[in-house]
Amino acid sequence: MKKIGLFICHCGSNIAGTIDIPEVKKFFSEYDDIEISDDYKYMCSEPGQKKLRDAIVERGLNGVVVACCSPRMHEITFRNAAVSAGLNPYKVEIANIREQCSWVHQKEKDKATKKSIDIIKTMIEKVKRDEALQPIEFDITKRALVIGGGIAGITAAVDIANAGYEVVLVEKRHSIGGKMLELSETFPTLDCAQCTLTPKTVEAGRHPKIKLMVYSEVEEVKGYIGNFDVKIRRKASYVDWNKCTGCGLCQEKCPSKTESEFDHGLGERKAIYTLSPQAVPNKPIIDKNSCRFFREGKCRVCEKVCPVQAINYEMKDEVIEEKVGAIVVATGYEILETEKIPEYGYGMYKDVIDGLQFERLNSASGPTAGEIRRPSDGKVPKEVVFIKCVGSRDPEKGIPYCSRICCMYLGKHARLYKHKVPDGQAYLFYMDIRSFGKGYEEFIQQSMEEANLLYIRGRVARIMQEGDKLVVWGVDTLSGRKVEIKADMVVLGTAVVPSKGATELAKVLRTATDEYGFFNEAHIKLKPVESMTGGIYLAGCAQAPKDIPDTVAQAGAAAAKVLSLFGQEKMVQEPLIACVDTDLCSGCGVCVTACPFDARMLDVDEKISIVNEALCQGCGACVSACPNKACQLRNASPKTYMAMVDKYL
Amino acid sequence: MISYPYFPGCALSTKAKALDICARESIKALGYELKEIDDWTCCGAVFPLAEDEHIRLVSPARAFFKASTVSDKLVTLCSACFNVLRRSQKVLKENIQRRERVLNYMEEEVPEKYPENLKVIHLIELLSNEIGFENLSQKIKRSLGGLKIAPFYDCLTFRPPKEMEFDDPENPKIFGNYITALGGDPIDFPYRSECCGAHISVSNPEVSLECSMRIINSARQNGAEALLTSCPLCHYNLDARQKEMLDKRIDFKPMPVFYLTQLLGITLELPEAVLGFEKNYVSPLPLLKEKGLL
Repeated sequence: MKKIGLFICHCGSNIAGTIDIPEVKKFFSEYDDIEISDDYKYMCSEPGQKKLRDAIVERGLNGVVVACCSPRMHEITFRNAAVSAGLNPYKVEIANIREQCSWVHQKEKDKATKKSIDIIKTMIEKVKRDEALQPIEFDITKRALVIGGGIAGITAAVDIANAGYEVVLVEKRHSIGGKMLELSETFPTLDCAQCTLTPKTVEAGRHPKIKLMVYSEVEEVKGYIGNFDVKIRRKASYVDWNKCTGCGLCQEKCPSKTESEFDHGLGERKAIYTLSPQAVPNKPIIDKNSCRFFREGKCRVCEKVCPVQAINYEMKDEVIEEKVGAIVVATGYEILETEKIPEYGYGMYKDVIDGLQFERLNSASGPTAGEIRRPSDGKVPKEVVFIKCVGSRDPEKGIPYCSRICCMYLGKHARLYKHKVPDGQAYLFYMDIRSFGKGYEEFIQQSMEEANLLYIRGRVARIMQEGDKLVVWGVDTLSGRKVEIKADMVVLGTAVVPSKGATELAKVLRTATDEYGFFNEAHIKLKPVESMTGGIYLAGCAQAPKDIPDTVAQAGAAAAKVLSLFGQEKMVQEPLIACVDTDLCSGCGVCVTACPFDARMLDVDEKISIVNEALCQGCGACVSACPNKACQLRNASPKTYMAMVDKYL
Repeated sequence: MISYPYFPGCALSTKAKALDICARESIKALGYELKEIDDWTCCGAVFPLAEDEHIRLVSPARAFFKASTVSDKLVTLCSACFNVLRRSQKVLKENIQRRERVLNYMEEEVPEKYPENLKVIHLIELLSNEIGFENLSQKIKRSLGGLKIAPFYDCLTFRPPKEMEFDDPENPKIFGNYITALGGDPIDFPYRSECCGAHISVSNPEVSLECSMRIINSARQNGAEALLTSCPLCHYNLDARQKEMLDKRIDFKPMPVFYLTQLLGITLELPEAVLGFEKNYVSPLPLLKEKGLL
């Protein structure tokens, strides 16, 4: 004998304004298996929940239907209320008579009332067949993987490690610090980037809980929240870092030079090299593409000079397996290939450079030791044009979104330029000035008023080389005039785009990216650091372009999310997942291929299919694929649904 | 002999005759034929931008019907004709509703099935894609001998890029590759795709003169001995108006401006009468003689 309680919510006037609630209540008071039919103005309020709890206890209910809003809103509220009154939460169902009835039929009150009765009837059929289920619990591996060793990754790793959990920090390049290490000074305070960053890189490098894996890439991720199995490829560095002391002799003696990626092509490096003077770890690698030994088969100078015999030309890539419970993605950004905007002549004219190149020009450890000298002839440029929104906010040629950092960093560049070349003139072409952060607007105002930077509101149409000058054609939209500037150097504020390989990494992680390749957050406002996949969190520009303060804040938030996961004793998962009727299963394996979460596999000995309960998300793909109807979702079997449909018809 | 239907257009029948005759004779010398479609009418000279302006698509549609009876390509050469015809074909191919409206204006000439596959091509596309530049450099009788020519990229042939789908308007290469194929030395210069002044030479000739003078000066500063264009209007602004530039600037040095097809004519050793240099304001003859190309 079923004893089901029905509770109808008015939702203020949201439901009661359209549906005749006394009529519905009356209809069900005489209905089969209904022990009590009741209503309340706001069922989700504390008095509303009390009604439900009291009825369970006093009437001994063994099932509950709440007719109210969408289950996405308050299913959890009512299930928790039922638990506190001693009823299994999976015996509580929601009949959605708001979103699916009262809101859409506001002008058809009679029909709405009838439809709400039908909806409630179907849910009663479901509750009658619901089984009491228990949540699934499993262990958590309390170690984290952080992918990307820029300021975002370092911050997240250090925060997690300081809480006492182990962290594996994986970085693609052979030292950590990311893009921030390439910067000279940072806005809005104009303090040296290295000075603020290196304490962090050193801390990450020395932290007993952080396992630093540089020159490595994540190759494969299996498993699920709480229990990921990760394969990481450590690329061959051809230097035994256990022996290497970082003395730098090999770099000094190496005879092959090539363009330095760290200096963005403005300087040179050796074939065996560390990324920067402040590299953490301070260990070199051999770049096979520029090494004379690897290219021509002879040289071996580094091997000869190394005092500790650390050079090993035979070294091979290694694949290392790690077990972790949570992953933070902090893969950062690149800038748009400016060759895509040929009217600005990037790549054709040497003195048209991008923002990161200017950072290197201005850096004390850069190719000009911090003097502003233009790449073509080393002269100090006296007229410099800075162009914002190069590729950003330009759906025609680049990307439609705002890159968020260019307004500020070009203002910073112009200020730094004026510090070093006081008699020089800086022009900044802008569309709008977006100085939204703390202290940013003050910085821009000061630049305009005190630093004598010339801000011109308008776009640049074209840049042309004339003799040793760059002729910049633009427009000043405030005065409505064409502007032509004979500049010595042009700096492009190029759009921020996702780092190379982000989309491939997203596939490995089985999480989603947006149309541009940035990792998708689970909810743009309420879950900005969670990815679409459980246990994977996002930090920094991997999610969207952002400046350093926002990146650090998000990295801290990602670490906090990891820690709140690790703070739990066990992982708890909803039991509403697939199960197999072993009598019907023939072990054909169709479900294994149908499952998008790798949750299905074949038990070879028993010749049947089984479900990995931790991975199953209850999507039902296997249920529809199974030819024998052996796969079913718990509390959602075909029989239940047919009974619900029968009642409706 | 492969024959291509050909739409010469008004300018090539009058002012820009050298462009036209050289094209026909050069293509003949290469073993192909440009066959003028009969009874063609003016393309309209400007592509109609209004969504409801259907009547001006009728002339292009007539040309497409005539061409489609003998080929799946229609060759044209004048920049304005190329611009109007290529964009008209895109509209008539993709916008069925508009196509029906246009066809309603036409009586006898409408074929049963609209020639959707017909492609409007520029003569340079015939040379680069059908004949091939590599093949072309084999077929010419005389190389340009490293003559330094600055290719000028007009607007109508390249823009709007999404409709014209022709090379890259911001970083164009096709005329330069053509000059290389003919044995010349293409000179890249900053003003290679700046405005020549276009129609403003009618209403405000001073402004237009500045535009064209900058182009010529920029080409010279980068080492060019001559310019190349395929557009009759650019040719007018860059060549015929050098008379005014000479009057205006005492230090101005004239520079010959070749039509696209004149260069091909030279390398195929066509007779001088066909090359039509007498139509150029700045005669290229002294330069060609100095280089031993005549």
